[in-house]
Amino acid sequence: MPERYELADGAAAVETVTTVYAARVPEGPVLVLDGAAAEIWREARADDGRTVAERVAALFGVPVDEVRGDVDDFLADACARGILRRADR
Amino acid sequence: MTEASRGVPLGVTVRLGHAAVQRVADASGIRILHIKGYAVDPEVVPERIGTDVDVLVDPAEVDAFLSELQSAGWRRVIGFRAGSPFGHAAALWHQSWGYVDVHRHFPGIGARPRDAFEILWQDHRQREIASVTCTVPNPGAQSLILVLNAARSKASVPGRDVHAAWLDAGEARRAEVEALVESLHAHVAFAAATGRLDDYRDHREYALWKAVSRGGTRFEEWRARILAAPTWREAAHTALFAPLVNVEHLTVVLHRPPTRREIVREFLARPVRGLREQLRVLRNPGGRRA
Repeated sequence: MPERYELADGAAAVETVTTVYAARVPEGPVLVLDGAAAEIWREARADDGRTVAERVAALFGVPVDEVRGDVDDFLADACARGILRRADR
Repeated sequence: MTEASRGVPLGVTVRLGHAAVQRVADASGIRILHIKGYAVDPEVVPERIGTDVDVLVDPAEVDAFLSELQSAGWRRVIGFRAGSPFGHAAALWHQSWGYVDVHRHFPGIGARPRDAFEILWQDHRQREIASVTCTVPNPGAQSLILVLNAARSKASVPGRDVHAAWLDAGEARRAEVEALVESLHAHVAFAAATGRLDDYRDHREYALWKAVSRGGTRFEEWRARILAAPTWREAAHTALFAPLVNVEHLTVVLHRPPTRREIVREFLARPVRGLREQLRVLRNPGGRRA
């Protein structure tokens, strides 16, 4: 099922080449996403008819089942912290 | 995903700060315009960076906005009177978002603050900063603000902002800026930034802009502030209070509130410093910038 996320209301984010800095504003704090977390963030906001896990698996060249758990955990955490929200529902 | 305790690049902090300040404005229904730094459109000055957040606030809502910022975690560091000879901005600091300068008017704009804000607001634009939609002046007004800001830089040659926003700007942009100079009554400061200040030698603001754009002693600046005051009441206020100790500034210098003894010592030291500066100039008139 296609899956896409967007920045949550009340959140802000700055993306650099290697790192994503996201926050609830004005409350804070600043959350630092680097490495795989930054890549999941970027893939979560893409829109190509696939799930986020499928996009991340394709990016790293690994089976979807290998990354699905970590990707879903990250997305659940980001939504709980109020920096991402599901955009396709 | 980790919470940043430190080490967030300043440019990131400032951009998130713009977003945070905009959210406070949106939540309270107060009109603000982000100026300078990351709020500047790349077509005005390419890749301009900022070290703090600057916002011009609807003058009728300045006190309310300061109160909203303080409720959201900002702490007032420097008040309007203490910040500059123009009394134009208060500085606040937030643990996560750093400094914000809240402007109640902009130095060099001679129109009444309320009128000036309405002129700037009526054709304002939106700009994404940290993925949040922020309200900014239009490109012509951004250019003018950067040029007026440069008038206070004491630079002997025009800097990057003046080049990009005025000297190297196209005909259409220069026409927009000139129209705003007229409607905002910004002639003297604009002339100071563009090397034509002496055209306004008889204007009451001439001495002040000469002092802030080319440098001057404390006495010269104090005298210029009195001359530039639009009413005798403001002139009298400046004459009376300018020599007093700026306790907020002293707090910033000392990184703590000054003691009564330190305030008294500073009260006695300020006139002496001013006198020394004046004597130095009198002994060596060629030693200062023209």
